[in-house]
Parts: sequence; C-alpha cells; structure tokens
Amino acid sequence: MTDTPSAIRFDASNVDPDVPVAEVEVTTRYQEARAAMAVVATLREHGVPVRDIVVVARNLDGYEEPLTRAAIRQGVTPVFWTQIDLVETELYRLIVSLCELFGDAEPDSEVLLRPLELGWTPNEATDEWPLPAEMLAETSHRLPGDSRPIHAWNSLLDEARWTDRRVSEYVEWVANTPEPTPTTVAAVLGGVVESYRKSVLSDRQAADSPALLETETAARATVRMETLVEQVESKYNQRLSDGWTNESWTAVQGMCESLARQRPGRREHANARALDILEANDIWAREIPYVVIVGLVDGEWPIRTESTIPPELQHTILVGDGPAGRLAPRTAWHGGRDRDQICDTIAAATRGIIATRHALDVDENRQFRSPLLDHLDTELIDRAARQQLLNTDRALPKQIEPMLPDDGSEISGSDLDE
Amino acid sequence: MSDRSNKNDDTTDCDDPIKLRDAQRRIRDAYFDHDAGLHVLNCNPGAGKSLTITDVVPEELLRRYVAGDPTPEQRVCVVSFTRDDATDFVPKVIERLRELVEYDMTPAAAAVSDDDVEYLVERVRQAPLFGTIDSVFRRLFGEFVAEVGFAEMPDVGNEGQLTRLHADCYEELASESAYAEAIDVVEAGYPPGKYDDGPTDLLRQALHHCRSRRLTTAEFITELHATVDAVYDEGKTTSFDDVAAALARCVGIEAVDEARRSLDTVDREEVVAADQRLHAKWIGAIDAFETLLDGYREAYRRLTRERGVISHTDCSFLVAEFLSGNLGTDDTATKKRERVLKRYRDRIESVIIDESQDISQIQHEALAQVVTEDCRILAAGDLRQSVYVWRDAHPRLFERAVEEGRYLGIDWDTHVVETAATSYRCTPDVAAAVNAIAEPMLTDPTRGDVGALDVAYPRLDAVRDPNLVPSVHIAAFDTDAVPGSIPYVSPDSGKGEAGILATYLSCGLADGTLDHVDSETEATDEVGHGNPDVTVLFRWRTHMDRYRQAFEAEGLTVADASTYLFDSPAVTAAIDVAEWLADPVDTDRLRALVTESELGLSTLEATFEAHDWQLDAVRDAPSSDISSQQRDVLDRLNRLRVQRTTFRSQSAAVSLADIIDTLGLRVDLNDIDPRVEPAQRVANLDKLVELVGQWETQSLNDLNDLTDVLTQYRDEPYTGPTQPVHTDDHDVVLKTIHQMKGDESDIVALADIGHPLRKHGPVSQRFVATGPMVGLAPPIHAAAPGVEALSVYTRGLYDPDGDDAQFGLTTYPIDVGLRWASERWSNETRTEPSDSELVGHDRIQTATRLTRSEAWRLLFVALSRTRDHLVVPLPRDIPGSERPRDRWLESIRDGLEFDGTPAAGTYSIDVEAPGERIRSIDVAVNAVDTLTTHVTHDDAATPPPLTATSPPEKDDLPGLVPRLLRPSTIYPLSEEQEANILDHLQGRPLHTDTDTIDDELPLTLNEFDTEDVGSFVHGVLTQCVDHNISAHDLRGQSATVERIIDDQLHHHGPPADQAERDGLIEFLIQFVLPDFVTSKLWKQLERADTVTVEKPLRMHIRRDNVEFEVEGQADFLLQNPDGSWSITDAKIALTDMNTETRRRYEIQVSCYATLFAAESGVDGPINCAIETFGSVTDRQEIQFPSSELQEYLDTLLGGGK
Repeated sequence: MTDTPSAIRFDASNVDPDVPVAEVEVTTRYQEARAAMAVVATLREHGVPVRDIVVVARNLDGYEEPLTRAAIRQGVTPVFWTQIDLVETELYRLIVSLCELFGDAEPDSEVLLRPLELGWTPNEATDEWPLPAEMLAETSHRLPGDSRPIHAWNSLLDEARWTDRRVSEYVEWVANTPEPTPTTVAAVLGGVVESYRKSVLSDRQAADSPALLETETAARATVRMETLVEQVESKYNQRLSDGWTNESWTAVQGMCESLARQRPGRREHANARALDILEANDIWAREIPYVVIVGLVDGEWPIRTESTIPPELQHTILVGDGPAGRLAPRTAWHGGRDRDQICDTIAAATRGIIATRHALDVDENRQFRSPLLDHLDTELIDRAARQQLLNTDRALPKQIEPMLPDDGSEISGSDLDE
Repeated sequence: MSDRSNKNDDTTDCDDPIKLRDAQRRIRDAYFDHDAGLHVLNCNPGAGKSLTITDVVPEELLRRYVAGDPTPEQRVCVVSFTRDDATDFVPKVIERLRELVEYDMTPAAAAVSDDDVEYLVERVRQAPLFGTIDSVFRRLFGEFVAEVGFAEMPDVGNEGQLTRLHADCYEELASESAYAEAIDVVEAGYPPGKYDDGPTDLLRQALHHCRSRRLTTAEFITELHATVDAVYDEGKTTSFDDVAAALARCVGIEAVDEARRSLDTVDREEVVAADQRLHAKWIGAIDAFETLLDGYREAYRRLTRERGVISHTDCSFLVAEFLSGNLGTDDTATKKRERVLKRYRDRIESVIIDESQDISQIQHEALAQVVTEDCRILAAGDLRQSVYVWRDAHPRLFERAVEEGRYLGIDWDTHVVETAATSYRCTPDVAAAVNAIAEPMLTDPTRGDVGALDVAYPRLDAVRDPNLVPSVHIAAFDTDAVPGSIPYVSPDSGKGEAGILATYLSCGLADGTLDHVDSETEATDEVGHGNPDVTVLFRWRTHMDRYRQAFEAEGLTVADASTYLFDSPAVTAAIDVAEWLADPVDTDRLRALVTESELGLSTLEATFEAHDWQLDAVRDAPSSDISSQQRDVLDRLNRLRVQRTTFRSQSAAVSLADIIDTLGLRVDLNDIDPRVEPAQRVANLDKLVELVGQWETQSLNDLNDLTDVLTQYRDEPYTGPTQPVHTDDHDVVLKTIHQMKGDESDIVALADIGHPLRKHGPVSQRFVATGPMVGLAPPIHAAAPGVEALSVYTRGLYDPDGDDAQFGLTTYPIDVGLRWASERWSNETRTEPSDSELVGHDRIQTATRLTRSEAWRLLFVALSRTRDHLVVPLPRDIPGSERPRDRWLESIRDGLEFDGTPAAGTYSIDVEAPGERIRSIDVAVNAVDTLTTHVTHDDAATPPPLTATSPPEKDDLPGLVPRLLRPSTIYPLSEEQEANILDHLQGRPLHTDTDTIDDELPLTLNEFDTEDVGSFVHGVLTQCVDHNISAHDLRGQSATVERIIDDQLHHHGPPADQAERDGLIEFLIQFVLPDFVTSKLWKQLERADTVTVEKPLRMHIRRDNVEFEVEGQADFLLQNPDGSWSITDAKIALTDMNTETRRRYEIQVSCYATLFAAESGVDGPINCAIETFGSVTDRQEIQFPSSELQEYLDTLLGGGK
C-alpha cells in the first residue's frame, strides 16, 4: 500500500453552485463550434449584450478557425484574445519572402514574385500599388520556370516587351539591395514595413468587410513587425559581434522565423461589438454572466502533458514525505493547472454555463467527455434541442432558457443613462 | 452502431457488474497465478475478449498498488490495433476499476480507499503504454530519434505528408539521368491504369515490404528472382518441352496434350521464342526495379529526415532495427540503445495484447525488443478473425503462441491457453446459423482451410435467451443473371439481390419481424435513436451504390459509411478549384476546371474557346448560353482569383476553407452536390478541412503544395478516407466488413454475396506480397499477344490486358497466362482423380491460397457481428453452374439448407451445437408483411442545418465600433473614423492638426517629431509638479529640474544630436516654464489640498448594449480647499491651435471628469480646464454635460459622422 498525494482532487469549492450548467454534445469539433456560436447568437437574440458572453477554451489552436466561421455565419464578430500568430500574416511572410529572395543567388520566378504577391510596395507608392493578383498571375505565367541570378531576371524583364514597368521597378529594387549589415537590414526591412503600413493597410481596409476583421489583424501584425525588425537588428548585431553568424540574408530570415514564433505582442482588440473568445488562462478573476466553455473532451481539457521527471519521482515529490517534501511539485503533474483553469472559468459565470464537447475526432475515433465535467451537475441538452439549435429554426434549448433573467433585461456594467 | 461488444450480454440483472466466466475467468486466474509467462485467450467472436482484458488490467493495477507500487501503470503495456479500440480502452478500464472496488470483486479492493481509487483513475489516464501498438512504438522511437538521423520527433502516419513525400521521391529519380534507363524500363513495363499500380505505387509498396520484413534491397530482389525461378522451375526455356513441363506441373498432362494438338511446329517455336523474351524482359524489369528501389530508398531515407515525417511501419521498423542493434552502431548510439533497453525492460512487467492475430511481423519484432522472460503476457485473439493479412497481419505468430508457447521471441516456460467459445453477443439461433455456415466452410481445404493457417472451429455457444421469433432470415428472389453481376444485384425489372433485401428490411422493420430481442437494449450514442441498428455488410464497394438506391426506394434512409470522401462532388469541386488557383492563367487548368470539374461549367466549353479561355472575357460576354447559375460560379471563381494572394499568407486548411465558403459548397449554392443530404455534405467538407489541418506541417503549409496531395486522392479516392457518418437519422448503415471488425449490430444483412472471390486477387496484382511470397508480375511489354492461347491458358504465356470475354469468362480473370498466378482448380484442368486444389506455380499460389482463406474468414467475421437478426439475400435457384469454392453464395445457401422453398414462411434446420447437442432453428423466408411498408422520413418536416443553408458572409457583420478609447481619441474617431481607424488600430497617435512648427520657436527637429516634443515637455511639467519643484527652482533650473529634463529627453525621444537637444531645452525654458509658473494652473496647484499628477482613470461605459472601455490619464487632478475638484490638462502648442484641436481637447478633459466622477462618486461639479503653453499661452475653462460624451459614443456606434 502506498501513500496517495493529497492535492490531486478537483477543488469545486470556488464554483458557484447556483449557476446552472448545460452540456452540449455534438459529433465533431466543427459542429461543436457551430453549437457554441448558435448558443451565443440565440442569447443575443434574447437581448443579452455581447459583452455579457464569453467563449472559453483550454487551448484555442484547434478552435479558432471553426469558431471564426461559425460566428460569422451567425452574424457574430469574434475576437480571439490570443497573441497574434505572426507567421500566418501577410506582412511577416512578405518580410521572410524578401529575406529568402535576397539570400537566393539564383531564385526562380516563384521566389522572385512572391514578395509582390504578398503586397510589396515601393517607398513612395502610388495608388497603383500593391500589384493586382491577376497581373501577377499573368507575369508568373510568362516568366521562364528556371532559376537565374537577379541581374539576369532584371535584364530579362527589361528586354521583354510584355513586362509591366512596376515589376521591373521592383526587380530593380531587389537588384540594388545592399549587403546585409545590421543597419541595412533594419533599413530595408523597416522600410518595407513602413511602406506596407502606408500603402497596403489602407488597401486592405478598403477591401475589408465593415467589421474590419482582416484589417485589424494586419494592423496588429504591422505593429508587431516593427518591433520584430528592431529585435532582428539587435540580435543580428550581437551575433555578428560574437562571431556566431556571418552576414547573410539567410541568417536574418532565420532570426525572423525564430522571433516570430515567440508570439509576444499586444492582445487588445478594437471592436466593441465583437464577442470575446479566450483561453482559460485569461479568464481568472473575471465575472461574466454567460460563459460558453468549448472543448471539454478528455485529453484536451485536461490535456495530457509529458514530463521529463519520471512518474515515480513525481509521485514522491507530490506525496512530500522526507527530503522530497522540500521540492515543489509542478501543477501539471497532477493536472492541477487544468483544474485551476476550469475552476476559474466556472467561477467567472454569474448566470449560466454552457459546456460543449465533441464525440469524434477527424479520424472518427471516439472522444470522451472530460472527467472535469464529472464534478459538475450538468444538464444534457437533448438531441431534438441540439438539432434545433443548429438548424435554421434556431431556438434556445429549454435547458438554457432558465439562465435568462425573468424580466429579460440583461444590462450590466455602467451605463451613462443610469 | 451500438457499442456493446465487451459486454457479457446477460440481461437477467443489469445493475450488477459483469463477472468473468468460464474461459475468461480461468485465463484471468492463470494470469495472476504466475509472475511471468505467456497466457493466451483464444476467443470466439462475442466471447468477451476485450472484456477480459478490461478486467485484468485494473485488477493488475490494484494489486500492484496495494503491494506498494505508487505508479503501477508504468509497469503495464496494453496494446490494441485500432485507435477506436485504444480510445475506448481507458474509459472502460476506469469504469471497471471503480466497479472492482465498489463491488469488492477482488481482494485488493478491500485495501484501497475512495481517494486511492481516484488516484489510480488519474494514473490510468496518464498511462504511457496504454494505446495502439503504434503509439507505444512512437514513444519508444521518441527516445532515440537523434541517433537515427532525425532532428526531432517526426510526424508519424501523416498521410498527406507521406503521399507528397513518395511522389517527390519518384520525381527525384525521374529527374536524375542515372535512373533514366531504369525509369524507361519500369514505366514501359508497368504503366498505371485504373486498377493497375504504376511505378510510383509499386516502389512505395516495395519499400513498405522491405521495411515490414526488414529486408535489404538485395534480399528483396532475391525474393523477386526466386518467384521468377519458381515460375520457370524447368529453367530458362530452350524448347517447347520446357513449356510443356510447366503446363504439366501447373495444370496437368491433359493441358500439355491439348497444347501439342493445337500448336503446330511453327506455333511452338513462336511460343518458345516468346517465352524466352518474356523471361528476359521480366529479369530486365526486376533489374531496373532494383536500380530504382535503391535510389528510392535513399531518397526516402533522406526526405523523411529532412521533412520529419515517417509512416507507422517506418516507426516499427526503426524501433526494431535500432533496438536490435542493426541501426546505430557508433558509441553514442550504442550507449543510448543500452539505456533505452534497460529502462523499458526494467519497467515493463506485463504486456497485454488485444486482437493478437492482427500483429504484424515488424510489430512483433519491435515489441519483442523490450519484452523479457520475466514479463507476464496476455495475448487475446482469434485466428478465424484474421482478416488483415493483406495489411501485414501475421496470424502465424498468434498460432505459434497458441500451439507452441513461442511469442515475442521467447519460448515461454509458463504457457497457458484457454479457448472461450461462449458467445455473449448473438442469440442461440444466430449462433447456430453461423456454425452451420462457417464450420464446413472454414474447415474445408478448398475454402477456409486452403491457406497455411491451421484453423480449428470451436462452435459458437450462445448463452443469451433464445428469441421467440426467427432470428435467421432469407430474402429470397428469382433470377437468371450471373451472381455478382449488375443484373443479379439490380435488374432493370423485378427485384434482384439489392431490391429483395431492401424490401425485407423495410417491411421487417415496419411489421416487427426484426424487432429487438430484448427491451433493455438501447442505443445511446450519437447516431443511434432507440431503433435497432441495421448494418448491411459488403466485401467490396462495387455495388454499394446500387444497394443504397434500392433501400432508398423502399423508404429507408441510408448512411453509407463506405463512400470515399474524395468521391464527394463538393469535395472534388473544392480540390478542382484549388488546383486551378495554383495557376489561374494556365489555359489547361482552366479548361480542366470548366470541362471536368463538378462546377457545372462543361456546357461553356465552346464559349470559353471562343473567348480564348479568358475568364474575364467570358464573364463579360453577353452570351445567353451562360445560365445565371453558371454566371454565379464564374463570379465566385473570380473572387477567389482576386483573393488568391491572401492564400500565400495563410495555412492551406484556411485557404481551402475559404474556397469552400466562397463557392458556397456547404450550402450547395449552385447544385454541385444535390444528391447528397445537406448534413452529409457539410460533414464531408468539414472532414476535408480538418483532415488538411491535420496534415499540415511546415513543408505542407501552402495551398499549392497541398493541392499536389489532394489531387492524388481525388484521382484515386479509394486511397483516401471514407465519408463521415454523422447523420442522426438513418435506418440502415452500409459498411465494409473490415470497417465492422470488432463491432456488432442488432441486425446484420449480408450483401453482394455472389461476387467472385478472386476479384483483386494475386492474378490481377502486379506486386504481390502475401504471406511468405513476394513477386513482381512480368512487365506488360513482355506479353506475347501472338500466342493467344496455350491450352487452358486462354491468355497464352502472359497477357494481363487480354479480353476473356471472347472465351466466355467473367470480368475477373482466372489467370493472365501460364507465367503468373492462377485461380484454377485442379479438377477443372485434370481428369485424374485427386483432391481438388488450386493449381499453378506453387510459390505464387501460396499467395492465392492465403488470399482465398482470408476471404472465407471475412465471411465468418461478417456473420458473427450479428446480435439479434441475420438476413441474407439468396436466389431460389442458382443460375448457371455452382461455384462453391469461388464465392460465398453456395456456402451460405448450403449452410442454411435453403432449397428455394417455401415461397414465404419458415422452415427448420437442425444444427450441431457445442457438446454434441443438436439445435433446431427456424429460418424465415420472405416472412414479412409486404403490405406494411416502412414509414419514410419526412425530410421536409425537419429544417435543414443552418450551415447547409447560410454561407458565412463577413460583409453582413456589423461595422467595427472602437472598443478601447482614450479620452484624447474619442473626438477624432467619432468625427473622422475612416481616416483615423488605421492609426487607432495600430495604437498610433491620431492627429487632428498639422505637424507645422511656428517659425519663432527655436526648434529644429530631426529625430524628434512634434508628438515627441509634446510628450517631452508634458513629462517635464508633470514631473516637476510631482517633485514639488518651486517656482523659483523652475525659473532658475535647479539641479533637480535639469535632471528631470534629462530624464524626459531620454524617455520621450530617440537619440538626438546636441543641437536638437539644445533647441528643445531652449523651447522649454523660454516658451513654457515661465508661462507655467505664472499660469492659473500653477496658482491652483499651490493652493490645492491634494494634487494628483497623471491620474489614471478607467471606466467601462455601455451604450445600446455595447460596451466601451475608456482609459486615460488626467494631467492634474486637484482637490481645492473648498472641497471641489479640478482637472486641468496641459497642452503644448507648437503653432496656433485650430478649432478642431480645441474641440478634441475639450472632449478629452470632459471625459476625464466623467470618468473621475463615476470612479470616485463625486456628485458636485468638477472644474475642467485646458492650459496651453508654447507657441500659444491660453487657458480654457470647460463646461461639459455628460450627455455630450454619450452623443459622441453614440456617434461611434453609428460608425462615426
């Protein structure tokens, strides 16, 4: 018989027992996202302000895309309170594509034109920049498929009668790119970011929907890229001084990639009409009437984490007898972090919780209910109500209706009228 | 499908936990009685194989825990073969663990508390070695990835990546001149066809085989040569006698006589010459294949490491090779190997394997590396359910475990075998019917026992209560069509096999014939809805769609679990468009999109041709030939073309989702996929996007890269996944038998049982690797069409593309000539009496026999999935001659003793049951009320899913309303939102005035801008007040003031040269500080009771249910001696201020007052003012009603002025 670590139980003491919990089980993650957003839209129809609803996931990586599309379909603008994924932004890819091009002695036409496709513009760009997709597709099609030095591309484009002068202007600019010293790197890349800000952002704004979803992301990326270029300059300078790298655009590209994946940066979102979608580590100490929790699937929440510490030693430390008692256990060893976060998430709700989960993964393997739900008294939404939630005659399931206030008023927070 | 396969279906007392019985209990006891040894549970279907494992594992954990092991799950490895089984396993073990303790079912239960149980539950959830066998190997492999050349743990089993990688391997070979000659030979010899593997497929299969058998290329090629030698057992052909000898060896002397009679001397010489050419070309093809395989393996080895992706077989292979010492021989690798082996061998004390008959040779060898003689093994399986030999399963390993006690490389001293014959799944009548059909079939040396596997048949012994109505049903029909043919399945008139089965199921469900046997049975999962689940099982998908149509015609709704995802028109349309978007200017791509895709544009081919394949020109064309639907498609294509550049900056899955949304495929705006139910269409497209997201890695992140992979699946849908079955309402599920393995259903119906077994057998395969036999068929260019017939070999020596129709044979050839595999029986070619056997070259025939025997085991698996009712469609009379060895039809008919009667009703048969008992069962023939038809679902009554009717439209979203406001930005944002929103989104200052500087000021700005100047001066003023600097010190620039100035210069601006710094300081000293100390603000500061500098103020304000978050810092907040409050903001003017600027400042300060009043609960008026210094010296008192702020916020809500 062995000692059992004590602090491994779910602590439900800070969960408000008066808050009803409705549970929605659907087939796939995509359906789950739709169900979650249908709940949000239906609550909105019942007069619940968007700021009185929050959607929470343990990890938004797998949910951001389906939740986004589901929200838009329901007429809800979503905002995700996660750091911007710079790697998935146009400006970042523009910068990296330029580094790749500068570092390629003999680029092919795809590498040559990619920066243009990603919105490269000259410093003092006119309205005719960035170049339209059709023109670039045409140019790409006409260019030979082989690789050649940039000066050869320059000559080819100069001599070709079909060349658009803007493409020539760009290739000329590429050909004149200076050697990559820290100063020139900052100047070239910083200049590209600035041009993007001046010319492309407004272009994106003009083409965007009224909610400015893409514009907001592009604007955040621009701010982040400004910082990244400064960081690259500093890091590059340091590494050159230490002799850890040679002057090369490839090295600069590597630093961009390394720094971009660190994902710091602002997280503010600009749209007052948008629905907040958070990861659970951001819900702490908040109070929101309706909390929609997605992804309550075993393995996702709680998530299984690997540790380099052998399980036997983890156990000894968790039990805490003898010398091992002086060592601090990591909460992840016994799922403590996930438990804390579900407690915070539950505690945030002041009127009701809607917990959703999916039953099948993409390979149609079964996904099981999170054991964290075992500690809650949930009311399962039946099949008919679930179907109706997802259908065109959408209606709030009867298990959620009691969460609405009797008088229908949902105004909370400060209002200048009051 | 109900998930009850693990339950002993004793319904007498459902509240009690299930207890192991008979063989289940005996093997469990034996397992715990020994500290080490091999324990084998040889198990009938439904006999509780998984249940036994689910009982043994928690008990083992409990025993270990009670004995003092705090982490018992670390000692136990439990593996299964499917992810579904593996994911089910942990919850079941947890449930059983709780049961064992709650019901005190084991002595260890008494020694644990509830806390202990919950602790163990957590440990089970974290068990590192519970899962699929592949997941265990992934974990092992993760220990030494660096030692075998990987930078980090690769992605294992990423099919998208692997498909692309294999294509790239071949591309590499094709682009290298060193391989040109070999490529020419192999491409000419093995051109890809609809059902024929081309060079890329053959190389991929060969590589897989080399890895799964741990063969070098040379060893592999030796095997191929051995097959050629076996075919040419007489040696190279030098005369017709050699050919005759081969004929005699394969099909008998009669064939030789016939050949000699029919061929004259010239013909014989031609045959000899052709055979010599065939042999030479075959050897040449193998030599060329060896060259390519060498290069292919090297390219594959390199690319897998570069891209970080491997297959599951690679993973097993690398584990076996590294841990056995074949791979990684340097000191570092050796030390790592020793450490890994020690760690795992020390740790793993028990190994439990479910479905043991499915383990492959490479998996067995890899697992054997970490198993020692001190381990306790439990292997549960059933040789008769071995249906995955085609996928590397090696049931002989399990057979040896049963018979010889040899397993995982160890001859076990302790060797216990128990056979569990009792079935808890099916009713006694169903069990008897299965026995009646399967026993003679599986023990017949021409059917189930034709292979090398020694299959015994312990009869199913059902313990469930018998059904009072028939459980075995025959849907009988009349036909004169060839079994398995289209007219047999669905004739133009009357009911064929599909129609009669549909009628039987439809009426049987409606009239109660097929009701649940027991009322306790309930389907509770996502797809079930309380009715019995009905599964129709197929060996091949060939006629599945015809069945679907027949069922739907009877009012049954059908979920087809076997339709390939990449057969879905909506899915292929998305791929077609993605392929076009890779180069939308390319005429060929556009032509393919127009003429071949599902977009409905094919009628526009001439229009496109007339407009030189210019999309814009066609869109602009006034042609009446273009329908409105087609115009809409063209417009959407154009939108995607414009959007194309954004695909460069986002993941492939997002781009694909954009394509789907833009084309409105889920909604099916343009009737691309009208035949598919909306929910199914949505599920298909969801799966496509999710699948692609799963495939994505750094090297497969671009839509263009991804398209290469997707088009391969589109062109060969059967290589990809099946469509999801997510619809809630269906009466019948169509599945392949392999999909059903390990599962069960209330009602099982067999379909397409007249299909010939030889379909896709070794005869029609170019690469055969079945059991011990490996062979590459002769190249097609070695065919000798001049030799049309060689006795019974109507295709002569070798002619894989020959047309058998001229000989009156069926679609699937019996052979392709003397020199490859055959499906002929000896009694069809020989007259001398002998046991009937498959004839041909013995080595190749090994594969034929194995394939055949597996086909019969597959029928057993299909039958034994049944719980309550088994339904089979049978012809009353078999058209043509009987072929009991070549199809299932006769075996089922004979087993059920069906002679075509009665027309409708029942008959009885006596079946031998276990224990030499006889069971009499009733078989129902068309015994349903055909007047009672199944109630058709009223689709119109259920509204469709929103996703299937409403595409996501970003343009419909409400406009952005600024959420995070600063008091200073409220005015410019509300007045000119469009002009200022970009700066606002970037957190940049919003300017309402110009950046001009009054000429009189001593400022020459280079590094600083006007914003920096304002911040600098502002900082100096507030810091001086905060530090209680006196007016005297300010005027005299005391040391403290100088330090503040230095600090602020540093803080608020970029490095500036000395001249610029001097100018800033001069401006401060001359134009600001003197006015500041004489200002009214200064006087107020001197008099105030309290002064707060840069007071942070924050408030959430709601207007019309929209919340604004306003946050700012008031420069100077003063409480006056009379108790009143003042807020003054200091502004630095570099030129004259315009009205706009003044207005902006007014709003700003008034907003501070509102925030402060709300925050501090001040009721009385708050005096607000703006003091301006610099180019202008001014004080402006502000009177501002809070309603004005509301108006500004309302303006923002309305999108600005």
